[in-house]
Amino acid sequence: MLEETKKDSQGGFRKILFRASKATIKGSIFYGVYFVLSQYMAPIFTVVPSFQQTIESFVIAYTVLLIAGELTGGTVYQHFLNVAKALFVVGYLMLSMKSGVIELTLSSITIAVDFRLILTAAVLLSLLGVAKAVLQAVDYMSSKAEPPIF
Amino acid sequence: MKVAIRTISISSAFLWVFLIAYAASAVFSMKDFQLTFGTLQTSISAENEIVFVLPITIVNKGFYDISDFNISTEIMDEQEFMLARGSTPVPLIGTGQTVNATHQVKFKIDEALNRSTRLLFDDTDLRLAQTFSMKAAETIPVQASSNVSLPWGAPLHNFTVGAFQVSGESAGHDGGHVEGVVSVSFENHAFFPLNGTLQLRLYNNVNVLVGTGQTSFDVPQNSDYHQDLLVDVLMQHVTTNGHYEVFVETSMFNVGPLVVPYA
Repeated sequence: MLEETKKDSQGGFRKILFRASKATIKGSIFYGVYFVLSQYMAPIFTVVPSFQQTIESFVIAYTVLLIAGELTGGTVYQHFLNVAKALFVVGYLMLSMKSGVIELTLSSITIAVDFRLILTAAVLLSLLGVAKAVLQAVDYMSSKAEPPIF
Repeated sequence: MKVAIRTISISSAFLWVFLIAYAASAVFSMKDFQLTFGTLQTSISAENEIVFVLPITIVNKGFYDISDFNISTEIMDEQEFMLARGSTPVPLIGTGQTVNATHQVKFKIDEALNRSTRLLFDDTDLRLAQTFSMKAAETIPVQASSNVSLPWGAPLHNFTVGAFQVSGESAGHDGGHVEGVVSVSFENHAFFPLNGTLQLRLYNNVNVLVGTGQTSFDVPQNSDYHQDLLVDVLMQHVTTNGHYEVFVETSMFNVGPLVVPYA
């Protein structure tokens, strides 16, 4: 009995370790992608510092949700966090980009870049993410309710 | 359901990578877009319009084509009244391509001065609004606009018409007709010389035409003009107050009647 409990706790510890490693790897990959892209976007960041802050705060919030989702893997909380993550992307895109037209003033020149088309595509993809997260939650709940026949 | 979820995951991941890469590369390639301006040249067309000519060189070294490039200029007075407008479209600038274009704005002085008479008498600053628009990577509309002040020198600055004075020796001649003089002066602050005729009509206080006079003038730019204009009047209708109507006809513009009261 004591040995079984010991084995269970060892298995639980392994699971947590595995989830933590997976979360670290995913978080690192996500940050790595951001780091590479930020190098390309450095000229824009120097011109519009607020754009860098906006992207950074997005990356931080998304990474936190990503890691939290991985740590709670195999539970219903993971699906809550996945839906929250997908909704966060939709909300963030809608709020941060306002109308989708970014305006900046350089001395006497005003530059306006219209990202509405890109924004629409991104919002539609985010909605696909919401749909995926909802489907995963439904799948998880149905698999819990009905034990597999075979 | 697992298959559907996996399909959505793969396709959405693929689409996200494509969208981010496309947007980032489109914005990144904008730094390899160059727009250079030549020296602004002014000339006068056969229709007596002032033509502003600006040579432009557009270099696209980015990853994508640039479409719907357009440069437009609007010239407005202080009260935002449109005086001239011109636009130069370039439909497509392919990647690695250099396009030389000439941007022209035709300024119809005659039309502008008749619409906005302040420009005739007052030195002011015109507002030159320039807008560049294009579609980066053929999908992202980009627009840059700037406002520049353009000093405007009035061709009839400080325009003054003095009181009518009867010439002593001609008084009482020709059945009530007498010859008198009216002093006319102005400063030509415009960037073009003025040559033409100035016609003056003298009306009494009941709007009866009592005399006329005409003179020709040739005033270089940034020069003063002062002349005593000979006016032949019907003395019996002259009153102590009334008004002049002045018509100015030059090679660049015709204005009038300019109503100037006298007392």
